[in-house]
Amino acid sequence: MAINNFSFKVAAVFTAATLLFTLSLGAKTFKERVTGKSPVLVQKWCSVSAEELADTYKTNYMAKLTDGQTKQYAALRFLAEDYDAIKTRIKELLVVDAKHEKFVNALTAHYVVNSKAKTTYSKFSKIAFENEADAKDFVKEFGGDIRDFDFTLYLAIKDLDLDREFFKTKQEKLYKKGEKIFEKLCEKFDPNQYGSLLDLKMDIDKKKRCGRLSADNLHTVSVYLWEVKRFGDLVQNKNIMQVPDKAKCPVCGMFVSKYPKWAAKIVTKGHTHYFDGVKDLMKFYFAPSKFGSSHTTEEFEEIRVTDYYTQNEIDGKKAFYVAHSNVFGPMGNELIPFENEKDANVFLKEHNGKAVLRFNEITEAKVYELDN
Amino acid sequence: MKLFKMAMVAMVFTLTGAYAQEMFQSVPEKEATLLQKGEDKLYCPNCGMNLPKYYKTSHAVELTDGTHRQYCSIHCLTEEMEMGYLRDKKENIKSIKVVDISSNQFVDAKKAFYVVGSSKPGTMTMTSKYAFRQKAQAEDFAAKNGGTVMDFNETYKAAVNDFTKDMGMLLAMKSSKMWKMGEKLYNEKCDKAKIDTFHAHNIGTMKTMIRDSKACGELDDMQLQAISLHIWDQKLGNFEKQYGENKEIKANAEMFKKKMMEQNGNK
Repeated sequence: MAINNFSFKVAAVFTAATLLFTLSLGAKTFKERVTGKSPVLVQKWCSVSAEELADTYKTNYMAKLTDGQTKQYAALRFLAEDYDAIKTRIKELLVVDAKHEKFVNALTAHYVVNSKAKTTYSKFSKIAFENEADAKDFVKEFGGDIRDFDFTLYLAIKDLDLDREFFKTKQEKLYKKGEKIFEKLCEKFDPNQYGSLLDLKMDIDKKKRCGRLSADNLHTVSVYLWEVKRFGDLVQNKNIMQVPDKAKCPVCGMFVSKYPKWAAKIVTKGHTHYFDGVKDLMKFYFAPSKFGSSHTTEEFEEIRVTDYYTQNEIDGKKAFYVAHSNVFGPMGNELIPFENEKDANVFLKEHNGKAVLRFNEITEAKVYELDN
Repeated sequence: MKLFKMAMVAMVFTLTGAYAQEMFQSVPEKEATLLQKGEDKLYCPNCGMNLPKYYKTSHAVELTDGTHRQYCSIHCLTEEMEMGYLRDKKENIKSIKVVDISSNQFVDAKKAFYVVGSSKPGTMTMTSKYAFRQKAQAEDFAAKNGGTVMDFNETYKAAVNDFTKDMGMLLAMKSSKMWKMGEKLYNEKCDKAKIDTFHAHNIGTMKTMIRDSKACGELDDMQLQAISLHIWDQKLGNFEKQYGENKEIKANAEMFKKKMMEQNGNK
């Protein structure tokens, strides 16, 4: 009884404290969630994090790419993570004006940075407005400074490490929960068959691979599969390409080990170059000097790529490549490799591919065509 | 032969002497006002550079607790304000001060008149920014040396805009000169085990520790700066942590290096 009484008191004090806290902050909170009736959503979830886009609609970004793809991001942090992969293909970049909740040109918008307004995905918020006057009004209420797009993106890229660190503890708890959900509720399937976290989440949802899940649980299990299980499963496949953790693609600068399904490499006498897709490999192959390498194409001894179906490491010079399909790699449109011609043809039909190419049929022009 | 040697020594002396005098920004240490306190007050907390040496571009922030942080330039002030120590402490800033170069005294930066982009050299930037208390003096300076007269807000904005370009220039200088020099000195002169025990919050403090502990023997300021940069940026990995993901800076650095090489080639 005494204990109950005590815990009741504690609870009461706690509630009162929370209430006070909320009230005192009430005047100055910024909510990212959509309030208007018809948000523009090209998809339900973020292209990078697969988080619900509507939840943080006021910080959403949209990138329309030259190859026809449209990507939508829950916040600038995720655009920043993806920026290297898309920056040469951006046709139009849009951001939601936080006041009017509509997409506007991101390059000419005014950004309030370092204000007191809290946002979900970054320790330091960055909030966009089409009109400078609206940004100034926001500064009056929440403090902060007004910056242009370039500098704001610069801050976001610089904050990536900080923000990842910030969410790390939360993330680790999520993994444990995700593992439990997967073991208990899901059918067994290979998370490596997907090109992105978003594809994986959409497929689990559509095919009900884990039965009926709450939105939170669906996200948790998807993140676990993508960030943990995917790599655990790959280790069991002994024929997979071994990529050093720190290896960066010399063409786009991204870490190749994050995309084992797309890994490719060129072996020269001294060392090996790793790529996060055959497209980048071929760009490098045709013009190494463009990417700061002193190699010549003749020095490349071996080309190794990853078979899309089996994930085995195979000989790139003997492989069959499907071009212009509707399956995108981390760098967008790809040349997708297969060991057997039969597999390539099956894939071509299933995914609206336009051609199956042999290694020596690939030209530099054909490679750059993929980006348009 | 002996004469030749002496002549050489004399020349080197004049050259270094001239170099020191040529630095438009410098004042003798005893003439510089150091607003920050503590053992490490001589150095910019953001980059470690010697404050009297870059006195004429010096800025300081006064915090509500009465303490100051003093910077070699508006570049370093910007860096701490936008993405460093001061980023979440803006409410604690009581005032910002800048050196008025006509009197070499600190004045309220928000009331000062800056000349941006004159032919006088900048500190940590390719676009120099000097401040005056009086508008007439700023205009006079601009008439003689070129540049535009601006207020603090405009100048701060210009510093923000210059930021990635200037970081590229700095990276080029560091990687082609200071880091190499620092690494060499570190390997030759420093008690590495001792330095491993140092824990500093910023490079200015690290530099002070190296200086006062004599862990690398007797050094001049440039050597001390080079060693500090090597330890802070490279050995402790702070540069990579801060800017490793930023390819714009790296690209700017490459461009700057190319330009430097072309210029040297033309000479």
